[in-house]
This record gives sequence, structure tokens and C-alpha cells, in this order.
Amino acid sequence: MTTLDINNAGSGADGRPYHETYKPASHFRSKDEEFDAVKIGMWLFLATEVLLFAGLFVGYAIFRMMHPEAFRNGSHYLDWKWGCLNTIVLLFSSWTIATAIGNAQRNEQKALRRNLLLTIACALLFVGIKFTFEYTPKWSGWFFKFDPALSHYEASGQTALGGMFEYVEGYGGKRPGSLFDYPFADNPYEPMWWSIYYCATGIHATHVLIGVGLIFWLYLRARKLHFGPGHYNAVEIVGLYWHIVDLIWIFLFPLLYLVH
Amino acid sequence: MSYGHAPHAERSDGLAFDPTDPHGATHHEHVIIPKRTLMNVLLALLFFTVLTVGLSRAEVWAADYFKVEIPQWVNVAVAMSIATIKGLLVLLFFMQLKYDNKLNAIIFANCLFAVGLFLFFSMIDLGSRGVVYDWKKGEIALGGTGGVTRGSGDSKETVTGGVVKFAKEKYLAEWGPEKFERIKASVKHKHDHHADASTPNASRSVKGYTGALSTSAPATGGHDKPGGH
Repeated sequence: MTTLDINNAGSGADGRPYHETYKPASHFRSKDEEFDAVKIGMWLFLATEVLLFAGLFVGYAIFRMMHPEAFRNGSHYLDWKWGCLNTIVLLFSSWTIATAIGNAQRNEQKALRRNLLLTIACALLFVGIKFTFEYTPKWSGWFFKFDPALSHYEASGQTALGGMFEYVEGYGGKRPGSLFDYPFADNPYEPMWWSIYYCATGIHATHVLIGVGLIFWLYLRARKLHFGPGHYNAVEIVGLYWHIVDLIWIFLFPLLYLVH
Repeated sequence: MSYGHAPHAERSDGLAFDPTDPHGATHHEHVIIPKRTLMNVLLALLFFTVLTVGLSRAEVWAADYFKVEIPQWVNVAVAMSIATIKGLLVLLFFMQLKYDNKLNAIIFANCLFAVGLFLFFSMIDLGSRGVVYDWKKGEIALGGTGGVTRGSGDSKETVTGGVVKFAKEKYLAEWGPEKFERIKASVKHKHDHHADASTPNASRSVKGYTGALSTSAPATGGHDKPGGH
């Protein structure tokens, strides 16, 4: 990023908003040149992101070819309804941040801030669903009180956190590798499926959380009128990052949830 | 379609712009994508999401109802085709590659080409391994057979004979066979309407919420036979 004069935020030297008085870094001849350079840099970074996930996708392909039964068994423990809901949440958030870029270009400050906040809300909802309804029960057997799946299992009577979580005996333990502790598995390669599942979705969820931080940073700057028609580099490149997170999930969802 | 352009702020640095400079004037125009276009893309993405889930469910239903075997590659091919269409929509419109400097698209296409190479060489390797596997016997046990130690303090334990087998034996000993079967029945959903579960080459429907592992691994494979697949 170029020089960011926080103290001068919201009002340039002559009292105009930051985005109107913005000057590019000294080694660029113009803002346009800076915009292009920033964007190419971001696309190079996105290429490395895709290569990071490529390792996981290739691992998935190899192990699924070698042990299709283990992948089918493992996948059947995932509920496609949660995966589908999370896909919709992420697609919607991609749309809100794409719209936010248009808002900055049209100097619609209020809509810009609203769309950034909506994107953050979607990101947190995504991670919340993942941890509450997917990771926690599978890892430990503890179900959220309002989890619809809870009614399918025999109650153990154990509760935690003031009754917010209920324990189902024999459900948890679907952990990766040698941590695997689920007694009813039918295939010796099932822990391998869980390794792939937790690695892929865990690295993806980490990206979502980093995105929350970045978009919150955008929101704080947007409140100080940093972005407008004359300058919106940061909104543009964080938007690109957010879309790649969505793009990865578009492929993870069918590969993990729709296998049979 | 016509697109409005962000007003380019005047050069405020006072430097002269030389139009004959080969490095000048290469800037791609800023494009403001209309709100309507973005909304249409979102609707298309949601449609394809519903479609991929629907087709996946329909495939299971059809295989079950008509008692036909649908090869696994159909599942993969349909799901990946739709995911590719969705990915292209995101890349072209949300990430603006359609309107952008072509260099960005070239960078990304090269990256995807590399991913394709990884997959291609992995697949031709795996596809030809059957040639040697007939005589290359011996089973791989996950978690090792030599005693992996896990946990700490009182819960420290040594895994022998692979983690899946170890977990089963551990809980059998802890609960006793009667309780083991009772808990198994409560967390795993049986589906009795047909004897067969899915095989790698055939889809069968799965009943219940998230369980349904009743007849998964073939009884003759995996556990006691050499060779992974």
C-alpha cells in the first residue's frame, strides 16, 4: 500500500475528503499507474493462494481415487444442508463486496459502509455455522442445543455451558490422523478423509477470518471518507481477495458435501 | 451495454505526461459494473448452487428408484462442471476479469494451467499403479502398526494396529459389547430397504440425517485383504 495519512483522514489539506486529495506513491507517475500495479500484484498473490489450495485438491483427488469408500463414508457424515447454506452466505457476501466497489466508484458513502458491514456479517455467519454445527459435534460429540440433528440421537443427559450444548455419546471422535477416536468407522482409511476435510475447510475458514479483519479495516477507513471515485485501491484488492475465498469454497462444497 | 467511467482525477503532481513514452498510456479504463449486472450474476450463482445440489440428490434418487448403477464419474463430472461455470462467473464479473487488463487474466490462467499439470501427472501415476499392485502386497494401517502414542497425562495411550481398529477395541472394552451395540444403533442410521449401500461405482441413497454408514466398506476389502484398492 501507499502512504496512508491516518491523521489527515477525512480532510485533505484544503478540507476535502482523503479520496479527493489522494496522491500516488512517488515512484508512480499517476494514480492510474499505481492502480494497475497494485492490481497486478494482487493477482500474483491470488495465484499463490490458488496454488496453496491446489495441493489440497490434488491430495483429495489422489486419496479419493485410492480409497473411494473411505471418502464416501466420511462425506456421509457431513450434512449438505449446512454446506449449501454456507455456500449461499458466501455468494451473497461476494455480491455485497462487489457492490461496495461500485459504491466507492459512485461516491455512495453510506451504501459503501453498509455493504462492507453486510460482508463482515456474512463472513462471521459462515464461520459460526461451521464451528457450531459442523466442527464441534464431529470433533467432540457436543451438539448446540438448537441443532436439528440432535433430535436424531439418544440423549446422554450431559450438558455444558449452561445447557447450551448437549453431549451425544459415541458421535464425536471423527478427528484426523492418529487423533481419530470414532469407534463405529467401517473403513480403515476414514481418518484420511477427515485429515483432508479439516485441512481444506480449516485453511479456508482461516482465510475467511483474515478477510473479516481486512474488511473491518476497510470499514474503518470508509468511515473516514478514505474511498471515493478518486481512490479505491484497497476496496478493489480486498474485494479480489474475498472473491478468491468464495471461489475456493465453490469447489470445496461439491467435493466434500456432494460425494456419494 | 454501456458502462460509466469513474472520473479520472487530474494529474495533481504537476509532471508532464509524454504520450510517446511506450510505458505511458497503457492504463486500462476503470469500469463501473452496473448494479443490475452484479445482481444478475448473484442470481445465476444461486441458481447453479441449487442446481448442483438438486442434481446430486436426483442422481441418488434415480439410482435408487430405477435400481441402476450410475458410475462415480458422473457425480464428479456434473458437480465439477457446474462449479467451473460458477467460478467463471465470479472471475469474469465479480473479479472484473472481463473488463480488466488482460495481463491479470493471463497470470491467473497460467496458475490454473499449473494446477492442471499437478492433477494430470498425479492421475496418470495412480491410473497405472494397478499394474504393480497385484504383486506388491501388504496393507497400510493408518496410525501405524508400530505403536503411535497420543494424549498426555492420564489419557496417554499407545495406538496399535491402526487407529480405526484401535478406537473400536478401546470403546468395546470401555462400554462392553451390549452398550457398544446400543450406542452404535443410536448414532448410526440403518437403511433396510435394500441390502446394498453405495459402491465406488454406484450411487445409493442414504437415509437419515448425517449417519448412514451401516453397510459401507465391503466386508471383504480393506481390513483383511492386502492392497489399498
